[in-house]
Amino acid sequence: MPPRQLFTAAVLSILLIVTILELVRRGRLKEEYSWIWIIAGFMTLVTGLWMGFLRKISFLIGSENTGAVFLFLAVFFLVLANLHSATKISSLSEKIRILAQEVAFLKSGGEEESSEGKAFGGAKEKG
Amino acid sequence: MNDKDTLIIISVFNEEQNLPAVLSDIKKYCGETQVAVIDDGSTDGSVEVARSQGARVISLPFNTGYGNALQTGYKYALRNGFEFVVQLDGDGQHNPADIMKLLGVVKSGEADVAVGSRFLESTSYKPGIVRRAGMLLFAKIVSFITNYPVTDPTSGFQALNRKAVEFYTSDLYPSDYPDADVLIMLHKVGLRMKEAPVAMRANPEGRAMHAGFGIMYYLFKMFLSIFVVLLRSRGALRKER
Repeated sequence: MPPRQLFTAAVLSILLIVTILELVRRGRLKEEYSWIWIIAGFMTLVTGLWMGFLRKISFLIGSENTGAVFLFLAVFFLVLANLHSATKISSLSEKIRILAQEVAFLKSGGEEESSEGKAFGGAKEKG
Repeated sequence: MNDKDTLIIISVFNEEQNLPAVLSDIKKYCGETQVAVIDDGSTDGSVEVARSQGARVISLPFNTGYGNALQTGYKYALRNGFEFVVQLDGDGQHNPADIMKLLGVVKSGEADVAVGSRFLESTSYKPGIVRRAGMLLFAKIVSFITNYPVTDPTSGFQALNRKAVEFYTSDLYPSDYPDADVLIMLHKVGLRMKEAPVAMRANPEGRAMHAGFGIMYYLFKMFLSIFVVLLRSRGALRKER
């Protein structure tokens, strides 16, 4: 790999890792969501510095084009990262839904002490 | 009439125009039976209208979806010891005159869930061609799977006993559109469902729950949900309660 490409890959990878660590330090990125990106940063650094690694992967896949292999691995990683995010979002959506219900019950509990509900049967004791 | 064991839940999202008539009709046909209006983040005066008519109001802090609003009502019913729940929409489509008919089905023990079908008897309600085709398609699917001749798989006018209410509080209950997939879930866990004829009116303002691209999402979501329900074991469905 030409030294300039090597240098660019290394610098970008290190910048990525440093950015992630800084986001975690500032509390803008939780540790549990940062690991996947830190690994991505290190893998990019390794791939950039050690071309033999990429050639080995290409050989295993059966491709002669290391550039295409790198792109494929990068896209595949992004797909997995998005899937991971989607599962997290699904879980959070569910928790928010349940929280919204509990908030509604809490608000309703406070309002039951007013005249609300008396026109339709009044308060019912808990069974 | 004051049925202390029954709670009528009305899911509402921006229905300040239609709610007064609905509440008035409920009082007319159901007397002092308790009513809970589940406000799903309305931005109009629905809450004030409901309160002024004396209904109990449970307000979700933001719009969370029709299914979630209903489930909030179910949870409220369980927490307050009600044995039966009747659910209807706040837009005036469902006729409160039919509440007692649906309730009678579950109270007599004929079924755990009574679904008001607008197609069991001849009716003036005429949905559009696309909607009707969708309803027929899902009716056929549900009928095939449950071995029961379902005619209205998307009816939100239902009466439930406590067993069914408990099941509907499961985390698997859809938060957006609880329709054909829920009927299949009922079948899988052994809860009995029966349809009863009811009269339904078109939305007074001509609004439909699904419109435009929403119809495509609804079709996709319903097929996926039915598929997933069929994959889940009976034990898994029961365990999530």
